[in-house]
Amino acid sequence: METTDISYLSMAVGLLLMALPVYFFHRLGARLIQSTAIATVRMVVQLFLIGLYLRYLFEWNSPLVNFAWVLIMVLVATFTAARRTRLRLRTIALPLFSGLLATAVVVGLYFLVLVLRLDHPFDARYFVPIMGILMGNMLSVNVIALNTYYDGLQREHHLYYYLLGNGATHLEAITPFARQAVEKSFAPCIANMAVLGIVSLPGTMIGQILGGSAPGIAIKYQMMITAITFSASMLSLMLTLRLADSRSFDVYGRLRNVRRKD
Amino acid sequence: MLEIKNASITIGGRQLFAGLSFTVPDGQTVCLTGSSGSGKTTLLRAILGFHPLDEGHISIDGELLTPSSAEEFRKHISYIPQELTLPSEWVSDMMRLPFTLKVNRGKAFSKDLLMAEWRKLELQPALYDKKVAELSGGERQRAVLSASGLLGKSILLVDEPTSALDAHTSALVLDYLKTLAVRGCSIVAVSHDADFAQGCDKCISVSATLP
Repeated sequence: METTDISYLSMAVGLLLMALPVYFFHRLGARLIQSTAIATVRMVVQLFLIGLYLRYLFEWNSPLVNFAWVLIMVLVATFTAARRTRLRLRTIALPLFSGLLATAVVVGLYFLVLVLRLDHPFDARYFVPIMGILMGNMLSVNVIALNTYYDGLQREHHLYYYLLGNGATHLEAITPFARQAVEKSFAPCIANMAVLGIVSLPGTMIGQILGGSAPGIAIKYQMMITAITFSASMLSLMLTLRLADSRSFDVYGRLRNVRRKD
Repeated sequence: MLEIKNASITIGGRQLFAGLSFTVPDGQTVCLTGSSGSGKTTLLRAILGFHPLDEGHISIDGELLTPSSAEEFRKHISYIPQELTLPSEWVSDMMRLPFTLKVNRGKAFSKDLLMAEWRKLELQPALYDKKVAELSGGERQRAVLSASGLLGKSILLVDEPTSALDAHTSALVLDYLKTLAVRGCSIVAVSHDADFAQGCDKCISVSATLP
């Protein structure tokens, strides 16, 4: 079954829908028109470029090139997370890069080798999109969690010192803050998971159905994608927090100046 | 016995105190006094190993405090910072919080024992089943103190234990600290309350002008 292509004229017609929210931004005086315009232009340009990259990635289908592409995604995700959390690069860059990369490789290959049982797990058709979807989910969870974690430590420093001052180990003293971070970042994921298929039809499933897959196969993939993104988000966060620990606290157990001033 | 010898701390080029020496024998109450910003709280944090001394040393029973030994030192300490807000919703959970730490799991938490401490601090037993938000600042301060008392550590460091209390309740808190001292606990309190300071066994003035 062929997927119906969208002509450039039809795409322009589709993008016209963006005018609706922009109109209401204008009516409500919300200062979001400029950022919406920039984001829309970025989306269009980036996706066209990605389409171009993917075409070549699929043509070459080289494990090395595919892995290099993943490295670039991890690097971009690291800098994006550092910018959104306002954490200093020297604190978070290496832990985040390592956490995202290690998790993407471990969980991604777990899915490709043990679940899909592919003979060629680095095949671009599977490897690139799976790594991409893992990266997107890990990035959003890590940004919320890292913000919550470091905000909590800065705001509730009395609690941290109270726990340490009553004999807590360092791990025990940071646990309430890690718990808050996990609760806040995973609550939306759990809420989304609970309504999958009823309130929302997720992207992977829709993409597969539009691409011609049978609905039965599409839902199986969706379940697996939900499972791997959920576990990858947690694993990457735990690795990042663990690796960032010695960069976040000094030898006396005090939280360092982890945030950028800008 | 807690010993502070020839301690000096400078922060941001400003010397908080220098050449500060005193001992806190087992079962004694010591009050740190001094103007705001003189370094009293910083000294408490130094005793906990959270802040380095520029000069001098701190020891407990002859063992020197170092960054690597600080965690072991803190196993013998209970600390109550000023303006403490614990994450518990219920008072009962707030009381149990320090008992959930690995180091304190050997100390059984008992509501009966806690109520005995509360009687000394004139806290109503009904508060135990209330939400933390329903407690006044003074009640919260005394409740946290009672949990530290129940822990039975050999050293208690407490920052402004009477800041939210009237004269009568401040006297109760002082009496309570003395009952802990009778059990052998060494107590170091930071306070601006002159009556409280006078009631302690020893008063140490913290300032940059110390010899």
